[in-house]
Amino acid sequence: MTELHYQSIAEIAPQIKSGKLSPVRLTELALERVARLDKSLNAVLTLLGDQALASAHRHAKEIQAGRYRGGLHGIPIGLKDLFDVEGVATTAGSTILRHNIASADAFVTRRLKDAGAIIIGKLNMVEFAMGATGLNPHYGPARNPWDTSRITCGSSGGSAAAVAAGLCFGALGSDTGGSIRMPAAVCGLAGFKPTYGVVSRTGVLDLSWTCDHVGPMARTTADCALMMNAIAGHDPADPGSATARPGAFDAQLDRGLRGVRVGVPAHYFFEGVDAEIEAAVRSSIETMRSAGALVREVAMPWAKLGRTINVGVLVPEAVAVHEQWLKASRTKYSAEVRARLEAAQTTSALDYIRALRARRWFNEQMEAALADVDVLVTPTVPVQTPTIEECTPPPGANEGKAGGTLGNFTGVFNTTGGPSLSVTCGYTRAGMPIGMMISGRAFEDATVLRVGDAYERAAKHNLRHPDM
Amino acid sequence: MATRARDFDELSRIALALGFRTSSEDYRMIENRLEALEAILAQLRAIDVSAFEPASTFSAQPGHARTHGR
Repeated sequence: MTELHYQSIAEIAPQIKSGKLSPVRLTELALERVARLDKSLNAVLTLLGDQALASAHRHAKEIQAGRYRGGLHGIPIGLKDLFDVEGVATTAGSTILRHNIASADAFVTRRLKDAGAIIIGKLNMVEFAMGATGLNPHYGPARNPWDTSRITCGSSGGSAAAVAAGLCFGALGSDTGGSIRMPAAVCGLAGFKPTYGVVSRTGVLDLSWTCDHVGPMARTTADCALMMNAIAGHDPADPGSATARPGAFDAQLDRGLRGVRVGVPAHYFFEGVDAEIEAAVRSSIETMRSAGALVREVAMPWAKLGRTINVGVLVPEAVAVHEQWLKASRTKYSAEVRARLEAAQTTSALDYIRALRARRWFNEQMEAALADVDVLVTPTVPVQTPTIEECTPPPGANEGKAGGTLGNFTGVFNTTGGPSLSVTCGYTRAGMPIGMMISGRAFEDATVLRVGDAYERAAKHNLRHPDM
Repeated sequence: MATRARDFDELSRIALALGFRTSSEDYRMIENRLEALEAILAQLRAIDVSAFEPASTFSAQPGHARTHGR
């Protein structure tokens, strides 16, 4: 029997519904684990202990009165510290916004609260989400629960560490070049970047308007689908919000892999990949084939430009977001983020428009490649999880000796805007989780979640947890 | 702010004299980032994008999300 703090939301929900488990006990458990473990993880920036307990008591009474709201009712959830919670600071991992008290909930915060979720805290992240390692010079690095000397990846590093260590049962992250999927991969979680526009960004700090996605991180793909059901929906206040909704995100769970057409890229996604990671992903593809999937190779010689286009769009949008802060509070940035932004100020309008046009070109190629398959399966992160020391830049340097290639694969699907999921597909000899990415066509989110769920049920790699 | 010049110490002295707190290390880091960015832009310039308008391919159009508290 899995310890309570490592159970999935889907396992816990029936216990709460039946009254066997109280939201108060569950919240106290989460807060006790934060108090005991977060000194070594640094996952939580703002703990909302009193509010969480008060909320848990309210929800316990509501459930006892027979007003059960659904699968997230009474479940402790964490938020990356770029989601607004009314009355609480949204720092975005920066000192510039240290005292930025939100006057209202983000759209997704409100949706989670409406579903009965209990917000236990705001979670550590890379400064302004500008980086892939999970390091933060202002608040310290989030540490990987599987080995606290190693990075969590980022930028949603605290979200991944908190869920992986059993400090909460799910979390929200944001993903502009892989910031949900990379941390999920190296912390042994499922992390889902939905189709662009399916989840509102209102009340979420921008990094890059046309590449930013909000999504869930949880212990299973099924839990991600459950969270998606709560947070997705059109929001007129977000100009990028889609009017179309892909339907229930859990609609295809339990359908298995029989007949699913799985594409394996013949180019780029297996080039320069660590041997243990490649072996784990290819073995997982065979597991999918054995479960009835139809596996075929897909040529995509142009795929290497996906990450390039992602960065080409992201960089000028980010500098536009930061224009006023760069003028008013330049010295409050870390040297690394300041250098990124100041270099990005040289990007011309023509370069930005060229990147946007290249995105159209790229997405037509990807659309054609996905015409004959339902999903693409690739590694999430190409390298083994580096240590914090390896990723820490020496004085005057922009990057440490590791970490520069972490987002090479994930960023491709920020260019396409299509749904993309990372699931655990094995472990390295060092005992670190390995992530496999499953990506699909725009608005076919449920298909991607179906494949991830079926794979997890077949392989069961997600049932292992850190020893803490 | 960004510069292609190599004499970072001298640039830093000039910047400080003008009231900017930009150290030679800042200039080195900006220079490193510029080199990486220019490599990306060079790859983008090599793509023939003449047939493509810069719009999204699906119905969710990009735009600015409103945030609270700023």
